[in-house]
Amino acid sequence: MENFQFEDLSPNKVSKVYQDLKKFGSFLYNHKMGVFLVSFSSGVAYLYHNITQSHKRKQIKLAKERVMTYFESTQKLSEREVDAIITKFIDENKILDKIQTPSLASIRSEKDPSEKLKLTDQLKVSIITKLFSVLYIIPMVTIFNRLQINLIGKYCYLDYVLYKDQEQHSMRLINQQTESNFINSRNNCYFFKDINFSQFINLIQEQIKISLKDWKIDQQSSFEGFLKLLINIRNNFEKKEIIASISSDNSLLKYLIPTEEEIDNLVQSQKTPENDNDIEYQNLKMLYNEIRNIFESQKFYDVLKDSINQSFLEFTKNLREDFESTELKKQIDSIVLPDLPIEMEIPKPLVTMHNIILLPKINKQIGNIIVNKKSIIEKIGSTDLINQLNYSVLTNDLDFNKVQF
Amino acid sequence: MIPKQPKSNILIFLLENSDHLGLLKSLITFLPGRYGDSELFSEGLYSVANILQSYLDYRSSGILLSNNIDKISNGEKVPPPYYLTTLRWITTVQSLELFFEMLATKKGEQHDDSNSNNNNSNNNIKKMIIFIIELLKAILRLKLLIKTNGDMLVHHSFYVPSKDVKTILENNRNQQKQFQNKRPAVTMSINNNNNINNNDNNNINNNNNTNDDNFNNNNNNNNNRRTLSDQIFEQQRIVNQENNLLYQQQRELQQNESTLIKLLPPPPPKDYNTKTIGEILFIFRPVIYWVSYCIFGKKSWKPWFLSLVTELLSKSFSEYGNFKQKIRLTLLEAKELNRRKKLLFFYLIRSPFYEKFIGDGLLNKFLNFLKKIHIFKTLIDILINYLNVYRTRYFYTSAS
Repeated sequence: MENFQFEDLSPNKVSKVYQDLKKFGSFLYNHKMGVFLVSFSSGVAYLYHNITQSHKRKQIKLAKERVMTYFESTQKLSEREVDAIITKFIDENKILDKIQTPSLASIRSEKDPSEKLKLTDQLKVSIITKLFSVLYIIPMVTIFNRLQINLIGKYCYLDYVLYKDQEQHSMRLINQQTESNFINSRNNCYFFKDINFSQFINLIQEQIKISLKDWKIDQQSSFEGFLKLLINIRNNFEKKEIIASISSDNSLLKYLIPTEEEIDNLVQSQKTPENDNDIEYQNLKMLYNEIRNIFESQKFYDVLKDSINQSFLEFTKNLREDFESTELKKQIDSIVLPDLPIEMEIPKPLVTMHNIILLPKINKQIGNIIVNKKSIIEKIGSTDLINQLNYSVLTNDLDFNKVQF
Repeated sequence: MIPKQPKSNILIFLLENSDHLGLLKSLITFLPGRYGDSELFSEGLYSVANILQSYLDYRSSGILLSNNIDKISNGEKVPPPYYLTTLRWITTVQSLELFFEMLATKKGEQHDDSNSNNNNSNNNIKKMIIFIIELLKAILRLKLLIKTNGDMLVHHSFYVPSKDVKTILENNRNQQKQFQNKRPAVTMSINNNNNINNNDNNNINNNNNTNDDNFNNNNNNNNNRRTLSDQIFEQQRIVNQENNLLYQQQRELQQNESTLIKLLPPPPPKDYNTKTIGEILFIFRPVIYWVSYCIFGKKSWKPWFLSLVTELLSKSFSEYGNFKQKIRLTLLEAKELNRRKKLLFFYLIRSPFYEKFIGDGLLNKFLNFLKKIHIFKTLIDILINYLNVYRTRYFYTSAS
């Protein structure tokens, strides 16, 4: 940037500027009729433009604001509902206790080496299964609940929100019964139904058994080594062709919603020869179809991946602290810091630890995650990706300029 | 008043072949010296052809209306009966206006050669002639406005394709031969063709819950999964189709009724006051422009701005009812407003805007650049000549 110099404002230059301004003023005065006509015609053009455009722009702006307010409030509602669902099923109903975990005491008391080995294997598998279950449940339920709420919003409330001041009677495209059958709540959650959830746990457990075959309990693990192990296991579930393919056997998403056969059976059971009163179940089926389509879309896959990363990040961040060595840090500080010319924070060095020590720590972290689930849910819910996806689901990529007010 | 049915064989022949007049007019356009030495003569010929064409169109419109058809085969509406007489005079004046302007100019030039002191008075003759023509057109349009009960003037010509007239006349002849009293079937086919541009009825609000759902079509596996969006879209499509069918049936029913074409104009529009002001401004805009042009001169911006302001005011008044009182414009009114909007482009080639911004500026530079390319040189010269000629005559760019 050039420096400002006082020489630039020499008296000659000031007077030149003054002269120019004077010339400009006299130019305007000499062409006052022209100036008047230009300003008058601009005024008319502006008024014309205003009359034609302002009303619609105002309506569009208001409609956008209303939709955004509705969207934000429903997303908050969804966060609270997901928190309540997870609290009920994991904290209160102890649903994770389905994963049988032998206690350390029972392992120690076991005399038979082969039985002891079997119990230790069971311990590592069950703890890692619990870990994965929790870290998958939180993002999956969060995203799924959002989708449900926004699909319902699209079919039941969007018209009402858009035309709030238009005195138009908007029609619900699905009735309340279908809405309550479709939306997951703490009282009605398909995912946590006994058989369905057991299958979900089994799927994770089986995969983990294979992945942990070479991960012995008496070995030592570094933090990086454990992260690699997590990534290896995650790859078995999170590849797009697995997770986003709802018909795949290994897809975790399929446990969130009833299968197509289950829905068909439900529709059939409601249909009687006398009465064709199955419309609400037909609608329910179509809503689930839409959910399936969304599950298989690239946008959803990106959101899911991002959300799962958020929950794993929260866990690994906390676990890192368990690998940090305070004593080693003190030693390094005492050697390095006095010689350093400036103050700086040296990250705590990480140590390796026996898997038998690591497992209880992981178990403790699982407890921490459940306690702090609300913050994870909020973090997942605040990402742009999830909001973009859900906004587009709610509005169906509505072009506000084409809305007729 | 609907013109009488033609009886003369020559007139019938001309009516059935009136489209060929267009060819003749095109030939006149390319006569040697069209915009040079024989400008007056060729313009005279052109005006005669135009008058003949407008007379034939006037008669053709009469034939269509008396056969209870109010649309030509390309979908355009024929002006209603109460328009025809006045509109005929307007088009006649329009056909002659350029000729008179040229005549006045030529006379002026001859006088200039003999006596240069008379320059001003000769120029005044031209100004007066243009003024009289514009005033005459304005008065005729005002009369039309009164006739239409203050409705927007949506018809400015009555072009009828000769094939439409031919079909009707042939049918009438067949009818006479066969002594049938039934409505001609061919007429119906013309009318049925007219339904093509009636799609404005289909603007059912399908902004939300439409078929452009990203999640419905992006996966090959999904095609058999029916969603609520699909169902809604399908329902809307069926409703649209039903509406279309209903509309078409109504149209056909209307066309079968002999009292369809209204001989009297409709009652005044709801936004009578604003619409009438808008129309009056639109009608007198050319007069205002020409008077101010004569007062302030060619180089002054005042006429240019005055005209533009009047035009914009007229448009605002005409659309006021639509935007403020939610009185919907008819299809013809919307088309007319669109036509008027397009006429605003003439401001680009009117003085002094053209000289200031286009002629000596961008366009000249661009055309000079193109002239460097050998093939374009002749074409560009012709184009520049045409542009200059078009700009020398008021009525070429008057858009009145």
